Order: sequence, then C-alpha cells, then structure tokens
Amino acid sequence: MKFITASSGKLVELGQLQRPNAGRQAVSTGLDGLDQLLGGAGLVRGAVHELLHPVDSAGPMFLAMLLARASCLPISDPSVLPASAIGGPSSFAPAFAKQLAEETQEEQGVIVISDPAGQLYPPAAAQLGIPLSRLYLLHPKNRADELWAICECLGSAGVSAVVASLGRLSQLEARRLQLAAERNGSMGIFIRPAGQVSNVYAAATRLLVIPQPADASCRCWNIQLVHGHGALAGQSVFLEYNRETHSLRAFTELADRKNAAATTLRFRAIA
Amino acid sequence: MPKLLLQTTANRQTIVACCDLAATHGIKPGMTLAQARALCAKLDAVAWRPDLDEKSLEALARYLTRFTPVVALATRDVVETDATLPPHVFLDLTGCEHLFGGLRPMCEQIATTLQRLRIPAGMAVAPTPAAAYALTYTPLADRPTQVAGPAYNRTAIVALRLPDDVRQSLHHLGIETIGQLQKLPREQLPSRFGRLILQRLDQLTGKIPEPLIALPFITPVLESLDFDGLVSDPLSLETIFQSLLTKVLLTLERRGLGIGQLVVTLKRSDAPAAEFALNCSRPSRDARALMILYRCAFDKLAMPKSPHRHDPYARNAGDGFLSITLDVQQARPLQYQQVELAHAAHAGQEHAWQGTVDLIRTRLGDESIEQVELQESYLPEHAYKRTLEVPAPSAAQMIPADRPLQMLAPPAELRVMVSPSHDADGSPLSFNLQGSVHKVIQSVGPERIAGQWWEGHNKTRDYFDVADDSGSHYWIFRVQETGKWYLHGLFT
Repeated sequence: MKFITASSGKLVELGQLQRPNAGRQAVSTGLDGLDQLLGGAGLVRGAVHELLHPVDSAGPMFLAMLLARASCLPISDPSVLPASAIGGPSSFAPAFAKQLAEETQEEQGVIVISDPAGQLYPPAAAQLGIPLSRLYLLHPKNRADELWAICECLGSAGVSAVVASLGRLSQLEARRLQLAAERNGSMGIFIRPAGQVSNVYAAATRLLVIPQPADASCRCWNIQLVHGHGALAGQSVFLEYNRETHSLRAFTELADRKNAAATTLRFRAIA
Repeated sequence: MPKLLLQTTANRQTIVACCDLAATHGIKPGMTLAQARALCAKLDAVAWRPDLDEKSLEALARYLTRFTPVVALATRDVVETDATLPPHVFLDLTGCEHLFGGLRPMCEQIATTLQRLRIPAGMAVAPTPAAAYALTYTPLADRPTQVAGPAYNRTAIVALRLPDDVRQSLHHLGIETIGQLQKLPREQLPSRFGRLILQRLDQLTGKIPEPLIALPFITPVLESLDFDGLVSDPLSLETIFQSLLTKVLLTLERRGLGIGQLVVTLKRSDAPAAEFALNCSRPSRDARALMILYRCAFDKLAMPKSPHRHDPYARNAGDGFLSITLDVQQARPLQYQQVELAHAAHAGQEHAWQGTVDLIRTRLGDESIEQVELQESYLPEHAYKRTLEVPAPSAAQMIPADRPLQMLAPPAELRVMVSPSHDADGSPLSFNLQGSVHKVIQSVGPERIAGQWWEGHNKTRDYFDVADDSGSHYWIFRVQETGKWYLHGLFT
C-alpha cells in the first residue's frame, strides 16, 4: 500500500506505514473475549492504557489489577525464550532447554500501585494472584509528587505495570507519561473518570468500564473499547467474576451468558 | 505497658527478656506468653532479634574505644560467645590509664558513661580477662585489696564462662562456687567435665595467657572541602560533590566496599548546617546513581518547604554554603551476583528498579514507597502490614475470603434500612451514602468477625456484601453491640 502526502506544496510518497505499536510485545489478559476486543494479542507493553469509569461509580480497580497481573506473568509460550538467553535452541540438549524454559517462566518485573489515600487493600490483591513480593505501593503526598513518581517508575527498567488513579492531565503531562512508558517497555494502567475531566490523553487503549447487575454469586462489568488501534472501537464485552469459584470469564452477549463457552481463568493465590 | 521480648519456637512463644515493670507483675524470662498474659493482660510483646543484640553490643564496644584502642568482644579461644552467658566487653587498659589521671578516675569515667547510657553493667579491673570477668561475679568483700589477691571462694561458677551443659552437670553435683571446684582433685576434672574447665581455672590465675581479639579499627571515609567564599550556585556545588565523591569511591574501592548511607553536610554562614542522607538499598559504587540521588536530595533542600518565616530553609534559600562534607556512615561489602543464564535479561532490570526505589525514597521520604506482608489475622485491617523491605515470598500465609480491593480507613458511618425493621439481625434493604439512597438488590452475608478481645477490641461485626441497582458492590458491616452500620470497602 502506498501513502502519499502533501508537504509544502509538493507531493511526497511515504514509505511503508508503520503501525504505532508494531514490534512491541503484547500481553495476553488470559481472557479470549477481552484479548479479541484489544486487537487479538492483548495489551501492548510500553504504552499507556486508560480505564474510564462513570463519574458516579468508583474506579475499576479489579480490572486494573487483572491487567497488572497479566503484565508480570511469564511469557505465554514456553518455546519462546529471550533472545539474549540462548544462541539457538538447537545448540542445547532438549532437557536443558526445557529447564531453561521453566526458569524463564518466573514472574517478571514489579507492579507499582499509586495509592495516595492508602485505600488499596493488599490482601485482596494477593487473592487475585498478584505476588506481594513484586508489589510496591506509592504513597505520594501531593499531585506533583505523584506524577513525578509515576513517571520515574514507568521509565525504570524492571517495572511491568504502574497502576494509578489520575484525574485531569495537561497535554504535557499525558505525553510525558506516555514517553516514560515507552522508554523501557512498562505498562501504564490509569484509572480516570469518563467525560470532560479525561478528554486530554495519550493512551494506546481506552476502555470504559461500567458495573452491571448480576447474580448474587457474581460481579459483572461491561467493558467498552473507546479508543484503540484496530477497528473494534465502540464494541464491548462483559466480564464476570464468580466470587465463589474465583473464576473469571469474558463474553460478548449478555443474553446467552449462561450457555456461553467463555474462557475461564482461575486465580491462583500467590502470597 | 510492660515490654517483653519473645522467642517463637514452632508454636511456643517463650519470653527471653522483660522490663522492670513486667518483673513487678511476676513475669520472668523463660515463661510462655500465655503464662505472662495470665499475670498481666496488657503486654507489649516484640519478637526477639539476637542479631540486633549483637549489633548494639558491637556499637557499645565501638563507643568504648574512646577509653582504649583495644576493645574486644571475645577472646581467642571463645570466638563464639555462649548465648546463655550475659554479654560482655573486654577493655585492655594497659598504657591508657595515665591519660585519665590513673586507674581509679578512668574506671569512674567508664562507669559514668555506662550509667549515662542507662546500661546496667558490672565492672572489674584485673591483670587477665578471665580474672576481670570472674571479679564481676565476686562479692564485694572478696574483691582484691592492695595486700591480698582476690578470693574466688564465693564466686559463682558462671564466672568461669563454661558451656551450659558443663555448668548444669556441676550444678547437679552441688558445685556452685569456684572455691568448691578448686577443692576437687585437679587431675580428675578434664575426664569428667572436659578440657576447658582446667584451661579456664588457669586463665583465672594467669597461668595460661588469654589473648583478646580487638575490634578492627575502621578509618572513617570522609571527604570535605571548605570554600573561600559563599557558594550558592547548585551547578558549582554539584561539581564539587562529584569530585569529592570520586575520592570517596576510590577509597571504598580499595576496601571492596560499597556505600550504604552517605551523609552530606553543607555548612551555612548564619543558619544551622543543612544535612541530608543518601541511602542505597544495596551497597553501591555507582557514581551516576549517587549523583541522581544527590540532585534529588539537594532539590528538596533548596526548595523552601513552607512559606513560614520561621523555616530556616525558607529564610536562607538564597544564601550560600561555606563547606561541604561527605561522610560514609554505612559501608557494606559489595555484593557480586552471578548472572544466571536464564535471567541474564532481568539481572540489570532488578538493579535499575532498586535505583528507582532509592530515588523515590530520597526525594519523597522512606514511607513513600512500600511493600506489604500478609499477617495472620481475621480482622481485615490487621491482615497485612507495611514494610520497607522485600517480604519473603515463601512464607505460607492465610489468604482471606473475598475482600474488597478498596478499603476505607476509618470505615464511614451509614444509615441503613433493614428487613425486618425491628430485627437486630436483619439484612440490609437500602442505605444512605453521602446523601444518596442506594437500593440493595442483593446482599450476601452475614460474615461474622469477632473482635480481638485480648487486644481490647470487644465488638463483633457482621459483614454484608451488598450490590445496589447500578451493579456496584459494597462491603458494609453492622456492629452487633451498638447496631450501627459502617461502609468498610468497595468492590470496584
């Protein structure tokens, strides 16, 4: 495909158009329905993703935790090893290659949660399978400190995700956060109220999360893709968490959810 | 409140030490915590950390080097001190007494120092370490005079620094003093109690030498520069800091150490000196990382903290500095880690992240970035504690049932309608939160959590997970004793 543009009165032919997130590693959320909404592969690393919520309801911390947890989980395909670790798979005996594959399965990176009000309840995060040895809580005293600390964390190597509740951002602040995330491939997951307050953003993905009434044993959310690279903007999935079996599923239609063969993700509690 | 130190072995909690106040209640070391609670209900029990004891003893020994350069925690044949013996420090006073005007004034000064530090200690001076140790256990009347040597007839056997089992077997034979031991046939002692007993008796009289292992003297790593005028330009100060840091790092490199804590002092002309510490969570000789930490700490210093005129920083923000001092307060051996093949990519990342944590702590304070550790408690607010260090991942911990991710501290009071309305055990129908009425569609509960009565919390809470018509879930509870309702958390 050719792209042509006009620049100072001359027609210029552009080279192969690069997709903005091409070449970046994507993280599967573990739920097929949600992955498909996000373009098939899941959330990309090295970008900011925003979770919007209606002004009258609380921020979707559950989904933020779920995405953060996915970001620090091992590489999904055990046959894929980091290029720096080996010269080539064939140079190793199969048993050793297998052991190496198992070792790389350990969780990578840390999760940082900005919690200025001190309201996050870590045992609930542990229950969702977030390893507490890799969880750091930020307690900044004011907004300027918070933005600075989030930027530092996002830009640091060894961080897989930074979760924060942010209100209004200036163009400069939004861009700064985006660049910080791009620097070392960490993921910024920002919870923001929907509407005028959050109309300035520099996010790769924006999801609107609305709580839905559900059965007594379940909690349900409707997740709508507001902005994302791909043609799925405007579409939505339902996310349902069963508090008794601790299982999660994502499906597109609410009407047939009893019969839907949705992906079930069971939580493993990691202390 | 009486204070206790506890040692936990399996599930038995034994008291290692207690304060005077606890002793007045009849609490003694060796009791279990349950026994102590029976004697006094309100106790402040802390886990015993022998490593901290050792550290403070070493700190005391280092403090005492102001009297003599040779201060020892152990002698050559007792490198590892027996934990059952009271901690002791040996000072070699040879050749130092004239500096304090004689032996007696020197001892008086040491005694005053210990008193000022509130350390109850026995003190004795003798030609050999063993004799000095034994003298602290000797009744005053038997202490040596100018005429006669010391008499150990009534000195307790513990003064010989023998292992616990030897002391026990001597106790069973009814031998409680050194005098009684000396009356036994000397040649039979080694076969019955081991060779150490004769050695100790001979050391007491000075027949066998007992060399002291002096604490190694560590030269402080300190670099400073006095300016010929006032320097206020941050860039100039940074250059000076950098050149001094290079010298400090060179010294540390020769010793194989890394910086744990570096204290920077900037003297001012008409205000108290500004002082800040750069802390590294891992010993470091990384000049770049230290420069970033310095910049962060200096920024915080230069920025006036408050607009009040009383604030010395605000008043002197424009003034310059007279001198700069870099003092390495903590230096630890540099840890070299072998990079594993599979984790080659992550080794550097971990290091980079530690640097970021140090940076945030330097600029925003230690508590600004924390980790959490789970604690075994049914009370939701006690189920975890914050920590500055990485919690042990292997500790098997109790993970509670379904809990909200967002918890309010303290819980907010609610007005709730229950069904049936007159029933104190009824389930909620609707609640009023910040002026708006939420109709309860579903409620799951109650989950009853009783208070920790032994800690003074007598109230019992009944928790409900309620959902309103918008699909939001709330975690609310009723206090059984008062009937009041509170919002504790949000399932978001």
